[in-house]
Formats: sequence, C-alpha cells, structure tokens
Amino acid sequence: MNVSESARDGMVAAGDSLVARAGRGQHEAFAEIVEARLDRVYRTANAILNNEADARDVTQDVFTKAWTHLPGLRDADRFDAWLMRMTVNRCRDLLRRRHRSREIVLEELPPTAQPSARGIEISEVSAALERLSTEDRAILVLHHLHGQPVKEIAQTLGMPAGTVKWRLHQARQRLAQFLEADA
Amino acid sequence: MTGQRRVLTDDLLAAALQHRAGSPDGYLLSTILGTTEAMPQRRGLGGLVSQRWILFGVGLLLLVAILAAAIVAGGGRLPMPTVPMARYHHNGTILILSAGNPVEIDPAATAIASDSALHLPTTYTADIPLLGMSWAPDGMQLALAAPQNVQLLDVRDGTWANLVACGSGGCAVAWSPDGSTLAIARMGHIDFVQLGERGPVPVDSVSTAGPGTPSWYPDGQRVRFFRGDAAWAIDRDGTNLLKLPGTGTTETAWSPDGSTVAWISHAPWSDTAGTNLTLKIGPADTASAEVSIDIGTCYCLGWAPGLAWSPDGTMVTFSSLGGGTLSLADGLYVVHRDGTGLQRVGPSGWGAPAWRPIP
Repeated sequence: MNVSESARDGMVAAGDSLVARAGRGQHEAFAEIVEARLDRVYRTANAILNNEADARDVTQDVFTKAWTHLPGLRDADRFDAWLMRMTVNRCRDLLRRRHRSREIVLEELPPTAQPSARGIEISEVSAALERLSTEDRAILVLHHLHGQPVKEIAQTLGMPAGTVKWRLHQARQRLAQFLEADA
Repeated sequence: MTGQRRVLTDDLLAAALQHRAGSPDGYLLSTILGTTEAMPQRRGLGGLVSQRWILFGVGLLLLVAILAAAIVAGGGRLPMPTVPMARYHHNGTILILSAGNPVEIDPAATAIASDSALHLPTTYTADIPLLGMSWAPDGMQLALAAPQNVQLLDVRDGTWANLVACGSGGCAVAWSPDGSTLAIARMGHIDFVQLGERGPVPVDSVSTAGPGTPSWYPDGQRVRFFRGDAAWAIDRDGTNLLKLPGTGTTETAWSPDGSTVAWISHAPWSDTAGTNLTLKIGPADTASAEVSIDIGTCYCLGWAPGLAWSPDGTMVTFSSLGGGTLSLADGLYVVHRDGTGLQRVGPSGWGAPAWRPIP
C-alpha cells in the first residue's frame, strides 16, 4: 500500500475553505483545488483505464463537472469523496461506451529494450487487472495505489464498508486466479 | 507469459498500479483551467437537478407504477410463465452459491447436481451477487437475499415474489423455526416479516447499524445478529435489544434440537491480511467450544461465508475461502458435530450455504 499518498489528509483539511470559495464562483480558489488534486484524479483514471488519452479526457471532464456543479455541493467536507466518485463513474461510463464500439489500433510500436524480470511481473499483473470489472479495479486502485482505508473507500463509492471489504477480497482473489491461469 | 507461477503480493500489485497510473503532463492543468474559467457555474435548482435526471426520475416512477399494477393484478406475485416447476431428486441436499448462482450438492454422494432445476427469478452475476439463502422449515420455500430485494421462491410451482427492497448494502435472511416469520437484515435494520395467507406483512423494524446475518434462537422467540464487532440479540416483537458479551463472532447456527451451537470466530482484523476464521461447535448452554477448526482467511469484517446444520443435526456445512492451519482448499465442507469426518463436498460459495430440510 502506498502510505505516502495518505498525506493528502492534511490537504483536504486545508482545502475546505477553498471549496467553499470555489463554490461561490472564485476561479482562483478552484485553480488551487485543481492543482492540488490533478495528479490524484489523473492517476486514478489512468490506473483504471490504462490509456493516457482516455485518462486525460476523464480528468478534464471531472474537473469541468466539478466546477459547474460546485454550487450544488452541500457539504464541502465531502468534496474529495465526490470528486473521486465522479472519476470512477466517468471511467465506468467510458469503458461501457468502449465495449459498444470497436477501437482500431493504428500502429503498435516495437519494444525499445528487453524488459527486466520485475517489468515482466508488472506487465503480467497489469494485463490481469484488465480482466477485472471496473468496480473491482477502482477498489484496488483506491486501496493499493492511494492507500485509502476501507472506510474512506466506502464513502467514496457509496457502499457499506462490509461490501468494500468483500469486494476487495474478491478482486484480489480473482486477480490472483487470472495470474495463475495466465502462467 | 513466462510460464512461472506468479504470486500476487501487495508490493507487486502496488507497483503495477503505479506503473499504470503514470502522471499528467503540464498541458492538462492549463487546459482544465482555461476551459473552466470561461464556463459559468450552475446555480439554483437547475444546478442541482439536471433535466436528464428529471427525465430519468419520471421514467422510473412510470416503471414502478407499471410493476406495482402487475403485482396487484397477480395477487402479490409476479408471474413467471416460462419457468417450469422446480423439482428435486435429493432429499437433504445443500444449496450453495457458486459464481453467484445456486448449485445443489448431495453431501452423501459428494456429487454436485448441476442439473438442478431450481429456476431463480434473476440471473445473478459476480457484480450482482446473491448474498444468501434460507429454507423454510418445510423445505418448500426458499428466501433469497439479493442486493435489490428479498425474494421468495415457492418450489412447488416455481412462482416467486419480491418481499422487501434491500438498499445498496444488500440483505441477509433467516427463517424462523416455526416457518411463520422471516428475519431480514437490511438497510441498517432487522425487519421481521410475517408470512401469512395475505402475503408478507412487516411487523416491526428495529433500528440498528449494519447488522450482519441474523440467526434464530431454537425457541423461535429471539434473533441473534452481528453489528460492529459484537453480537446482539432482539425479541421477535422488536423489544429487548441486548448486546451480548464477547467479540469476534459472526455467523451462529443452532442445531435443530437446540442442544448444540456452531459459530464462526474471527481473529483480529488486519487491513492487509484480513482476518482468520475458526469454526467452533459446542453445547448451547455453555457456548464453550468442543470443536475448533481453522477454516482459513478472509477479507471480511462483521460477516463470514456462512454455515448451516444438516436437517438431522448430525453435521455442519461451511464455506472456506482457503488457507488456515489445515491448508484447506477454497470450497464447501461438511464436518460431523464432533469434529470428525471433515470433507470437501463442493466449490466455494460466498453466500451462506442453505441445507434443505427434507420435505
């Protein structure tokens, strides 16, 4: 788990008044919010989608929606959970649409160097992650990439904590099964 | 692929996610700020409820009205014209959930009756799981706990009815020993639903926070359930809510004669390793374990994969998620009440196994 990223907690507390000001239409305040959270939203989207262009689109869309809908946010303390839920939902929508349309890969670049043993391991896990559902991937991203505790994930995704624990267990179990099957 | 067996560690998973996540380039920030600066914010009702959501709400209301009319016209039951009558060839079979759908198991023959003609009202998937089941004491009705609703299946004619909605947290169900009442854990409550000729009638609702699977005391007057890290009990009329001593116990099941109790005990929770589960069996009057079986690890808190007694009270069935000191494989097990004869009889089921009483 990446514990260092849980340092964001301090950022949330400091951002409370920024959220209120941004909600009143102060774009400078919103700019500070975007700067502080851009990395997190983009990395979440890219870890779920595994596609930089799509992750950029999702990130832009999420912050655009956040700006336009901020006046309707009743509880500024929930801003980060709201933002992350929008990110996961937007990723889910995009993947649903992608399933309905066929993407054409124009060109595949050849690998530039022999990957290391660790690199191969990472590629295999990444490939196995692709086989999970969006929800399962999102839970793993929040927990294992951002170090979010179960309770926080439950708030973000609007699920009971027990359900998050259950899904976390299932996602890991499935991932391990896919890895074993691929080997 | 390398052909080597890959072990999924937390480090490896985090590294793969870090690798996928990457980092945004500088243009993204300026694009977002440039776009939003020129964009007005939504205020008032229009900012809170978009036209799309209003249309969705109207559509949903129409759908609910049509469904309600269909239920009223059908005397409280939704007809399923394409479903043939359910049939059973095995008395005393266990019903478990495998990949979200029920599978019938004959523990005596260690065989899975995959051709079970039990037709359920919904196709359940990993994303829409069936969370648990409970048989009526006569073995002719099955209560299904799905995320959306508690459903009641009559195996005599294959008809089913929706009892109550479950909310986003799902439900758990337990049939009273006299067959008259269902205890349903849902939306932070324990509801008692009487099943009379006029259909289900909620008789009481007790506000609790996050109750786990309910289980009835042998006299049918009280229900035990799990909330937070403690066990609680409540009378069937909704009175005498009582916190029971001890922690770390979730699923509990009394033998049909009420003399013995089986329960699943949890080791302390760890965010990385989950918890270890132990099946315990002992006399109901002392609740001291005479049998203790390490049944593996689980990312679960406040619930366990479940257990059930055989109708004749000689055996207990439980799901193991694998591991433990016995190195159990993931699967469904049966064991005699004295702890002997441990045997794997089927694939793993996440929901509680339900041992069908002999009709």
